[in-house]
Amino acid sequence: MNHFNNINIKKRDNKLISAIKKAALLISTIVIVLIIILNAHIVQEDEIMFVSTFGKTIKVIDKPGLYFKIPLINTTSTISKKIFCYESQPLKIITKDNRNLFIETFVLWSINDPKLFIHTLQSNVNAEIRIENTVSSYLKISSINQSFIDIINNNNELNKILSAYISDELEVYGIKVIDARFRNMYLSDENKDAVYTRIKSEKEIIASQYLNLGEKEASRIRSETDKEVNMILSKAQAEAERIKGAADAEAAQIYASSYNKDPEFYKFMRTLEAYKKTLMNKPTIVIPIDSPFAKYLMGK
Amino acid sequence: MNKFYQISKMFTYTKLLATLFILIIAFFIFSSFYTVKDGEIGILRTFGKVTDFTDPGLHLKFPYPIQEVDVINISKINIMEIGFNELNETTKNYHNHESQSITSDDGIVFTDLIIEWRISDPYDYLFSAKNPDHILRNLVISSVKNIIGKSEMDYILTDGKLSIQNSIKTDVDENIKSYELGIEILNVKIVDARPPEDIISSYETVANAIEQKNILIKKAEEYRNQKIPAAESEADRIIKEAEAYYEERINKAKSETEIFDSLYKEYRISRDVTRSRMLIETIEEVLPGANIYIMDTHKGTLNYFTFEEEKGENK
Repeated sequence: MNHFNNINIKKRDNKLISAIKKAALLISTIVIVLIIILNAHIVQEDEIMFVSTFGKTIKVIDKPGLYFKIPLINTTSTISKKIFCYESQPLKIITKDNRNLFIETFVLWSINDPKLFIHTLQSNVNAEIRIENTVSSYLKISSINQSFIDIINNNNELNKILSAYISDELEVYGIKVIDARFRNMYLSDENKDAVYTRIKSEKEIIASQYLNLGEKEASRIRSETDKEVNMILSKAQAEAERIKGAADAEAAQIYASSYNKDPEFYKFMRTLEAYKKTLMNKPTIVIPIDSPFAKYLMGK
Repeated sequence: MNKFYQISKMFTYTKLLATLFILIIAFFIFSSFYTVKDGEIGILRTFGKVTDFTDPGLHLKFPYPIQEVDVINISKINIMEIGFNELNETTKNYHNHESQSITSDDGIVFTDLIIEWRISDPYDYLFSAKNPDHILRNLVISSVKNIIGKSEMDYILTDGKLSIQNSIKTDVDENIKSYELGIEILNVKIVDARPPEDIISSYETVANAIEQKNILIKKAEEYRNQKIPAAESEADRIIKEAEAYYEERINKAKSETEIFDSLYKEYRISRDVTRSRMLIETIEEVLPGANIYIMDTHKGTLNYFTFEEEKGENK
């Protein structure tokens, strides 16, 4: 019985021990896995990882993949290889010809020298502050020599100069400037009002010019029309005169060719006809006695 | 002790672990499927490194963090609105500073643009820049200011739109390519170019003046179109009249000379008789009712005849 009891206790103890063993194994596996996982680092396509031992950078990894570090000894930090876009707040500048221009810029930048970047600026936030200062100091200095319209017209060239300047300035921080541009430019409200006033008066002049032009053109068309009408009519009149003249001449010729056969007879005939016309209404006629007509009448 | 044993028997570690394990596996399997639709491409990364580009279809991958996938639409034409947001068909939300540009002749215009773009290189699009869409937007705005800054205000508002949008397209296209963002520009459209609202009335005044000018000219032309044909028909009438006169004159001459000719024919045959006949006929026609005095200058007498009396006496 006792023996039996002993065996039972032993069995129970053995089971307990094996359970504790199992638990210990499980816990230690989990711990090891956790340590491995916590010390594994994935470097993405667009990342660069720094591995340092007690604060000293020993390795810069710029190839994507899975990497492990030694716990407690190594520390890591990653930065991005991507192009970043910095956008400035509108910055008011006064041009050479005293106009208030607001300029917004944007700068495309990336980290060129990761070590230098990490040592000098540490973070993107600091980098953007640096960029902002550089851009605004450049604009303040350069704008003094530029007239407003130069800035507007030569945008391309100014962008290039800005890029070059910023690029030079930021090189020491391990920053590469891909491009820097004026993003937007606009006048202060007062200057804008002045522009509007100018355009308004210009447009008024143009409008009145159009009206004048219209009136001029209209009156030109009218007077030309009148002239043309006169020409048409006088030409027609001349033509009519010509036709009438031709008619008269032709008629005269017809008469002449007929009457010339015997002018004396024609005279006689015409005289008779004239008598018919003039003597129709009870005329009083005095005839000398020795005229042929009197002789006829007297029956001599 | 017995109680503990029973409980431990019910919830053995292995059972607990097994359930957990099955759950985790199920979750991993479930999250390991991904689909790539038509026109899309899947970019598979294994431990951060791009290892595969997958075509449309259903795919299996290792669970996070071993493998990750980005599905990128490479056929979709994206539309970017500059200067405004089209909230719906009728409402637009305008961004004042974004759309206003200063022109080369110191004017101000407002332009609204639409940019159509597509992802041409999914790898570059994913990894080369932080926010490629945003860079594109800034570049377009900058380009618009740049090109409008070289053009005159009235040109932009009238005939210049097409050439300006082409210049913008070329400029943006060139630069976006040099940035290698994996973005391709398909189209740039200026949807609207307008003068500032403060001076829009001035532009209307000019437009009205042009219209007024055209009306004046049109009226003058109407006057012309009315006057010239009227003059032409008047001229026609004058000439017709002259021609009528011509006809009449010639006809008259012809008929009169015909009479003469026929008389003359008769006269040539018997001169005296015809002459006398004509004379007598005339007298017959004229003398009835005439008072005729025959004056004898030698005798100083005046004889009075009337034709009727003469006739009567003759009877």
